[in-house]
Amino acid sequence: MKKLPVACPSCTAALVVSQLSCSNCDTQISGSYSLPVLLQLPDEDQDFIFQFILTSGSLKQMASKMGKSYPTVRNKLDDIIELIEKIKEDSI
Amino acid sequence: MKTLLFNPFSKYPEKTLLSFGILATIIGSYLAFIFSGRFDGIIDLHFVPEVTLWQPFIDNGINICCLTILLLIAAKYINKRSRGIDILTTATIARIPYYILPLFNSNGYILESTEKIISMATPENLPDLSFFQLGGLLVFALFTILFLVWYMILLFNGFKVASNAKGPMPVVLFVMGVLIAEVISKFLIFKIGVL
Repeated sequence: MKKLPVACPSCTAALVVSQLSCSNCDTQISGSYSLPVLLQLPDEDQDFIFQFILTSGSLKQMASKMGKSYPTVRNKLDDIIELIEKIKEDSI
Repeated sequence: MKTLLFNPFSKYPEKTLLSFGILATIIGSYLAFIFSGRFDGIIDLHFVPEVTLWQPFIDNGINICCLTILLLIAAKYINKRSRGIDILTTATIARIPYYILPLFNSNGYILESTEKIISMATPENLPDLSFFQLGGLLVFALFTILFLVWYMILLFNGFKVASNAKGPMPVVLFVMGVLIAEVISKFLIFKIGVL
């Protein structure tokens, strides 16, 4: 599966979506759309968030599944929260 | 193996670690009773002529409480979500290397050797230690330093995981917490000893 780039390889600024196309009728839409915050996170963090949802928000279950301790998983969640807040702040 | 020895707190559940830590504390305290050791401070171990059964248990209880309280205060300052059980687990597990040291005083070996050195520490007297006594003391000193370093690595790693510490400030808070805990623990153990 292709990896979606989120930062400019030239100047590291956040990339925006400028064109969308329909694979059914070949309609193309141009504009300037910011990527959702979730897609701007590293793949590892996105996987973590999906796991969090799939375990119904139980960090204890996640810790057991990941083979890590509860505080380690809790710290990872705190780091992701901090990163999301930073992304939101940068986008204002 | 590296995780198990130096940072079990990142991998193992806190209940498992705490149970293991409490068991190790009981065994370590009993070993100190058998081999005449006193843990009279969070980073102290001294050998004395006589030890009652309850003394090492009280010593370790005070040491663990002091460490837990001071490091919890430091952890809460860094991250309000830090949990007491994680710091308590850190304090009980980190002290395990120290519980091995009383074994060196088998048959009063270390106590006898150190008392001999102290009694001969005058300009008129030449040290009259055998090669084995001196060698044994050096080996004990080396192991003490190594185990102290191991103890501090475990303590700091547990503190880092419990508080999600990053950067240089947590190091300063950790050192301050350990030093204050050392002073308070020595004071409390001394006070209880004279009661």
